[in-house]
Amino acid sequence: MDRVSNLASERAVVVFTKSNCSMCHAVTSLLSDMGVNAAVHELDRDPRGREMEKELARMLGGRVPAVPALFIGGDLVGGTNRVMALHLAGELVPMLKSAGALWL
Amino acid sequence: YIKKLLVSKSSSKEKPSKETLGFLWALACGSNLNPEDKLQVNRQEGTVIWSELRNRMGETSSSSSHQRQDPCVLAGYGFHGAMGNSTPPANFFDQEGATYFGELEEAFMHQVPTFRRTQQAAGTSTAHHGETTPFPVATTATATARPLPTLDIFPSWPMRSPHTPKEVSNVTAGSTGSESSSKNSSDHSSDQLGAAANMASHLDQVSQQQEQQHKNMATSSTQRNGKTLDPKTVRRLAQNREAARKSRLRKKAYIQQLESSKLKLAQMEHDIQRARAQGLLLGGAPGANTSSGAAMFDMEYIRWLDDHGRRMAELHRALHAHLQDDELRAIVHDTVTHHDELFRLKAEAAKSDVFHLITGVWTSPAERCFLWMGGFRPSDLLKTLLPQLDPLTEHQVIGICNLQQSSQQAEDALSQGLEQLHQSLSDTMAGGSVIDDANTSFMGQMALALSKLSSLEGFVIQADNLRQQTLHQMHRILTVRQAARCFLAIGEYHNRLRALSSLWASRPREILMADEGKCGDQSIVTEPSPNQYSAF
Repeated sequence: MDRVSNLASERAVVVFTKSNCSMCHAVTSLLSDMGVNAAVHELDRDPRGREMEKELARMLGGRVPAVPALFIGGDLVGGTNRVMALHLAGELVPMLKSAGALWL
Repeated sequence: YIKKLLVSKSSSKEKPSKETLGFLWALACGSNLNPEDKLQVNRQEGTVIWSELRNRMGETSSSSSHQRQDPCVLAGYGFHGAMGNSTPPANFFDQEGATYFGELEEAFMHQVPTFRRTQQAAGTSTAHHGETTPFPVATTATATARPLPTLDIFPSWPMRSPHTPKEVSNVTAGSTGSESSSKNSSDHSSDQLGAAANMASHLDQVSQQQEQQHKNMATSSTQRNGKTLDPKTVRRLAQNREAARKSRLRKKAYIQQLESSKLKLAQMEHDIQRARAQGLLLGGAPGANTSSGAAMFDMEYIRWLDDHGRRMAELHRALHAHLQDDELRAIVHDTVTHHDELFRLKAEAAKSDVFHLITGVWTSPAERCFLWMGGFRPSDLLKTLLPQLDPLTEHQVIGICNLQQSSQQAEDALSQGLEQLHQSLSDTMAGGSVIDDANTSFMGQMALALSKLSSLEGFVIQADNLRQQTLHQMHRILTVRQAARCFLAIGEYHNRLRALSSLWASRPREILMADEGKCGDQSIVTEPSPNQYSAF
């Protein structure tokens, strides 16, 4: 259970994905387009991926799919929907900046 | 009833016809009672009735030796050789008359309760009635054979049910015991009939039962015209009423269903017409491929467009009516909510038929031309709208530009994700998966491809999410009046695209058919000159 939190705290921006998930690719593309250097963890390549996925699903409030899941500064931001909405609202960039993932 | 009839006849100074009297007399005979028995019930009235009947029969009958026989002869309702000189009324049931009276008894039930009761009384008291129950059996059976629709008091032809002749013959066959008749009645009557069921189950208690009924008569419920009915009859009548009520309710429900279907049909026809007008069904809609989810969405979309048009008109009026900001704010808020409704509909449709949405079949051709992931591209729309919204504050301009940029980035991200999906899907279809190089069978490929396709729905929903967020952000950034103009502009823009589609589809073209014999049909479309569209 801690593995998720541990990994999430390792870097300013952490994304949990699955290698065959296209939506995850969309989110990672967005971050890299913004110039963010995010740590990407593919659950299907992790031996403990199953339980991590369950944990993420729980943290997301039971929503499936559990990936992609974005953490900024160790805190859960959310899934694709949330990330997109925040970005259009202009709130994603400030969050990234405050976590030190972005510079002017 | 007879009394009433006679009174009315006498008051009108008109003799009841021979047929009428004979009928009544025959009924009295056929009820298996001595006329004198009836008198015991309503002595005063009965005497009057009886004497009147007798008098009138006396007037019209040719021979008056045996009072019982004559009316039967006179009656002439096809009771052939009806009454031997000594045939007791009981054997009336041997004849067709029994059937007839069975039916009529039922018809009279509401009006002549007396006969029922006295018949029961007579059943217990008189000796020569070996069958005490055949009459109620016959009548109760007929009650169940057919619900009572109307009181056809004087039918021109005896009403027959398929059951009663059988019963009658059974009655006569088992002439001794009421048991057999009870049994027969239970054979023929439906389960609903409590009376028959009672009779069947209390075979040896029939006489007891009758005595009980005789006792209960005075205390039985359902007073009708001041006279009492026995419990069995009461029950039967109640059941008939209930059956009639239920049938009325069913009829009502059915009619309501028809009405609502009619309305739905009219609405659907209107929707289809509207769709044609909108140019949506032009160019051969894939009728064969349209799933029910897609068809449903198409209809709902048409309705949404109708609604949208009305709201735009309302917004336009409100904008130019110089309303207070609060009122305008409410209308603008409703407009946003209405757009949200469309996104909800699309999300529903994505679940059932994502291809329908993503290929844009539901939208007009011109809109389809600009289609991005099942709808309009938010950043494009913002680019188009910006000039329409002047004057804007600098703060607002920055806000909108940021919105545009963010939207652009999000769109690109989604596009890249979709691109990866395409690639992965095509790899699977080509037979070599990126991840798994093992020999995959056809079904294996399909299974893999299906699981990949399922994420397509997610992309359309995310794209709609972007569109929705764009609209919400515009609503946030702009003032009320600006927002009103913004939504009007969006509406008008898409309106024009739809109009363009219609016009394009109906534009004048010249088609030349080449000589068919040579190489089949050849159609040459002439180049439309610029002047052709000057009329538009």
